[in-house]
Amino acid sequence: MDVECLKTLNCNQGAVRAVRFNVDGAYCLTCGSDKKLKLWNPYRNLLLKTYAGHGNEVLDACGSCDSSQIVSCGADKSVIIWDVSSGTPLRRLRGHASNVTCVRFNEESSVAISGSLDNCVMCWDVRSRKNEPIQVLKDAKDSISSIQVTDHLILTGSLDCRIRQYDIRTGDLVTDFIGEPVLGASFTGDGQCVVVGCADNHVRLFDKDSGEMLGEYGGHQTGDFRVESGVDNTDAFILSGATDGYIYCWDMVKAEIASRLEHAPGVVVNSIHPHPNKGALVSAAGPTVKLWGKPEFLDSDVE
Amino acid sequence: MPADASDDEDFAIYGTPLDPIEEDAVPSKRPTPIEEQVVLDKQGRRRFHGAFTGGFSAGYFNSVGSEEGWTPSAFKSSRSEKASQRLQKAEDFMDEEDKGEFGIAPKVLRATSDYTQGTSRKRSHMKQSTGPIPGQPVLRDILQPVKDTVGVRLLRSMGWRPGQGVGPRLSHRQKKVQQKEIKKSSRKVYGCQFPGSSNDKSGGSGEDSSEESDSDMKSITFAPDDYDAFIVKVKDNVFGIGYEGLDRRPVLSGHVQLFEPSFLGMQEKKKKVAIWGQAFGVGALEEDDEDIYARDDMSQYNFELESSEKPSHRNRDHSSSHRALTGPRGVGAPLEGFVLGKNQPNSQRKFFRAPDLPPGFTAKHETKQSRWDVNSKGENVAKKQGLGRHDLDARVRASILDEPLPKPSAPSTVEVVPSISQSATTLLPPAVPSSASASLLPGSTFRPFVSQPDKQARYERFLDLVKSGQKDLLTSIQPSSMTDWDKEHERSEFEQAARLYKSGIMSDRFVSASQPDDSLNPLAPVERMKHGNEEMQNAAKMKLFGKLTRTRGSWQPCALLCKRFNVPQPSCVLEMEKPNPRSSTFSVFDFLEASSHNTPAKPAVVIQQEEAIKSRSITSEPQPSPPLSASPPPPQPPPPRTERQSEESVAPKTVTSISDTLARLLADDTGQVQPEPEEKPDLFKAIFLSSSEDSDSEDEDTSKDDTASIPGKKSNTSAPRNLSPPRGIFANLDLDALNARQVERQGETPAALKSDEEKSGCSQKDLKQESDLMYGPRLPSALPKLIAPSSSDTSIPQQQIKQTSAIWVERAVKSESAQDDDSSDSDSPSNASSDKRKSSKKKSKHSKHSKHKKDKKHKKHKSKSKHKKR
Repeated sequence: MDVECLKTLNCNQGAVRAVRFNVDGAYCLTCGSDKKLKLWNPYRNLLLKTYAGHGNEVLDACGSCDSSQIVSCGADKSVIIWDVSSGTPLRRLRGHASNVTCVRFNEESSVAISGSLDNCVMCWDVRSRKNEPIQVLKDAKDSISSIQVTDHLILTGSLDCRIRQYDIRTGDLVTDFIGEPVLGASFTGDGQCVVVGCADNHVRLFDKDSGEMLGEYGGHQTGDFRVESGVDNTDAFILSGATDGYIYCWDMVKAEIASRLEHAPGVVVNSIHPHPNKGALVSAAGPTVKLWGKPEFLDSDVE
Repeated sequence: MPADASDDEDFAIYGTPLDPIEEDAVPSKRPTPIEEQVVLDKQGRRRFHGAFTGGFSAGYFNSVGSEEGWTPSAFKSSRSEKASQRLQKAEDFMDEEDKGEFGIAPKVLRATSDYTQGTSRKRSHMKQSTGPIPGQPVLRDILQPVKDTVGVRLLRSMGWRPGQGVGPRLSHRQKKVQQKEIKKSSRKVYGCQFPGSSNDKSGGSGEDSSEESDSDMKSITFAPDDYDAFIVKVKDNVFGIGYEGLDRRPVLSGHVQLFEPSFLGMQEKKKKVAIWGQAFGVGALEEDDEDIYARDDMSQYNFELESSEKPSHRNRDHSSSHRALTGPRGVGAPLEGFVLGKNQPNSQRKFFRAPDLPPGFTAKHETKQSRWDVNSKGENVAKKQGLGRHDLDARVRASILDEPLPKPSAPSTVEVVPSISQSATTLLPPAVPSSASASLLPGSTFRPFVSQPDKQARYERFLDLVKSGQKDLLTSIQPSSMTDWDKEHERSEFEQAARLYKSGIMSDRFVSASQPDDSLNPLAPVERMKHGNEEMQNAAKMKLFGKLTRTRGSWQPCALLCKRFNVPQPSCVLEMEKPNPRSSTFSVFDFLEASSHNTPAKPAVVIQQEEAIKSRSITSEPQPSPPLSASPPPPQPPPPRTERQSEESVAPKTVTSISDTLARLLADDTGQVQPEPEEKPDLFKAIFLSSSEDSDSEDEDTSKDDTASIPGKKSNTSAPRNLSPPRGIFANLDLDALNARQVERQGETPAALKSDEEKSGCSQKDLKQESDLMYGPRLPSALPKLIAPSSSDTSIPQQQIKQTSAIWVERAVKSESAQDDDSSDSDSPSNASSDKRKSSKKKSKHSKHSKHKKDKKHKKHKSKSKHKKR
């Protein structure tokens, strides 16, 4: 993956717990440990808005499909839905009993799905004013570490070494035992495979339908950190953060390290998010966020 | 007409005529009321009011209104003018009268303070002080420089200097003349003066002597001599002329004369008070003072400690001292008033070595910018140079000090004891080893003074001394810097501590931790939880993901979720029951539920417990309750019972009270409705209503019996108990252990309990046994006697009851045609008596019961009535 660091955002909000592109990759969100959520234009290194209202560290965020709302969750056990333009919290959803570690909108952004340290996944109706979750999924036996939502699937990874696929269309629940605590699980671009970051310093690729392992990618260190992993937009590279301050890129087929991107040596790269449709990604390590991509990509976006 | 016209023309009318007064209108001749008689000031403002309306004009006619009336002036934000806001002066709040001639701040033409004080008009720059006290330097306010008046400044600018007189400059000669004149005029002459006698003579001689030098000084002019203004001081006291009393004032209050002999100093309560002058003259027994009006100064006192050869230099002979001063300054001729030192001054000064600088010391002094910034560099440096002490652990330190390595656990109690006894043999045991050994074992000894190591060491040595019976030697241990009081206090402290320890108040109370307290250490490594079963783990290890690791299940997405996902709700799944309304208070158990089922298959233990609960539930289930494996078998194993017997058997029911409540709680937890056990009211009846019901008629009792029998039937067919495994707080409850304890107790009195099935008389012993098992007030001990005459059956003694129980069993056997007699097992002696019992029992079945017995009895009755119906 031949990308270089295009921009470095000094977020000035403590440790950045997560960095996320919005739906079209034009903006990114950073979740700070200073209870603030910030919206950036990473291509111009421009801070657009700061969303303050969380009572503790913000742990994850997601933008809605029309970029009019943001859902964020934090260590204050609450999920907050923000109005992007005004910066005010529209709804504050309290229901989890512990830190809410991950949150996602569904495709239509009508449901927010959050996972927490209390082993529960809660589905919140964004459109109604109800303060209770419309559904609580209590299947996990340990903390939920990641959630991904497609049009009819909810994929959760949890520290009980399992990934779960909740199929809404069929009502099937498929649980795959991974053998190691799952730090992050995400679908590949074609939706046929699941990339699972494991706590044993490996990223594994599973077939979604059969549950068989297709590839294993190692060589990096995750330590005891919740290091995110992912796959790039072309499904050619597996990406993962690491404790040594590098972003590791593996060739998906060859399962070899294709490149290592130096973010900040010695600082854990805990959050990465590939661009939804371009060969770029954002990564967060400590207080800084970096945008990676090709230089011409930056030029085309700036204009 | 013409007359009329002429009449009219006779009068000339000026002005406009008043309106004609109507006849009925009474002209108001009221005088102006008092409230309208107002006094106005020269501006026309109302000045005085009534006492109740303010008395004095305030604001605008005593209102809070403004000049425009009640409408307030439009609000104008001063936000933008904050910077230009000027200070308010007192004058802003004064009106003209205040500033007038007789007001509180009259405006008079006078010199400004600037003018009188003569300070430069330049704006004094506010200097930020760099000293420890922020703001204006304090001394600046206290010590104000002496300021010249304008006249002095003017004179100065014209060339005048202090000390000179004022006037045209004079030549030398002129000045001499002038001096003479002044001298002449200032000389006091008492009595008559000889005309032109001495004055001329002295004047002439003066002129002659100075004539030679006149030629040199002709060209030089001198300023005229200054003369003191004659200051008239009014005598305002009644003392004698020239007397000054003691001036009691602080030293610094007046002008300090540095170059005059110091006055007598005296200190009074930290505040220096100078004593000035002389008080009360000479005492009656003292010699006359030479000079009454002289100022007493320190020079008049002899401070010489040695006896001087010369008389004290009290004499103030100026001429002699002058001579000594002008005399040749020989080696052996000191000034008068001085004595040569006897010892040669030690010319060789003693120099001390400079202190050794600590390693890493830098001579650079770092100034703290502010006392508030704590994180100045100096502290960090100190922390960094903390010699790394805190980074070392006990082992490393021990290795550095060549000490034996401390044992990880605390078995060292044994080690210490010899050290103490060893030290006790010596007179003064060495402090270091005992304290060191004591410090090696944490918490094994009672150490009350750990915070003060030296004190603790002393305490330990004190203990040793006490052991050796040399308590008094404590003072020799204590440092000499301690005062006697401190020593005594410490001794009493030590004695108290030793008493506390010896008496076991403290030593019994504290137990040294057997395990490291990891719960307090957030950094202690935590074992990773093992998930999944063996198969899955093995498969994952072998990377055989797929079928082995995949589990398929189903879930029920709720309708709304499907709707929001634009997906039709899966129809294959059964319609889920309506979610019960969420309780507003959400409990921890909601979340515990998920984590408690960590394994998909039910563990065997849980199932066992389940069974135990089932068997112990009050609604006695048909199968006989199997004895728990955990519970020890009772001394007299209960005979194998038939269904009815088990129903009637009381013992297990009384025992299971705890598991009952647990089961009920569990049932509540899952929302299963559990019928209230019908024994409960009977229990209370038995306890509280027994005496009254005993006296009741038999009929009433029977009717009650019948009604009570109906729920008894129901209980037979009641819904099964909660079958789910215990969850939440019950998950870890050892029900077996709880039950085992009860069973043990039951085992002690199996016979008595069995006998309870007979409703007949309850003996004293029975009551006692029951009271062990039930709560509530105890029955009076006299009760059985009261009951005794009521029926023949109630007075059956204990042994008889035992028999009846045997009979009862026998009868059951008969009715059920079960295997042969259990009666042989029971301790019933005779069959003849049992027959008698039988009849009596039958009779009593419907007659009165001794209701003070426990609920079990009722149960029995119910079952009995059931039998009857059958």
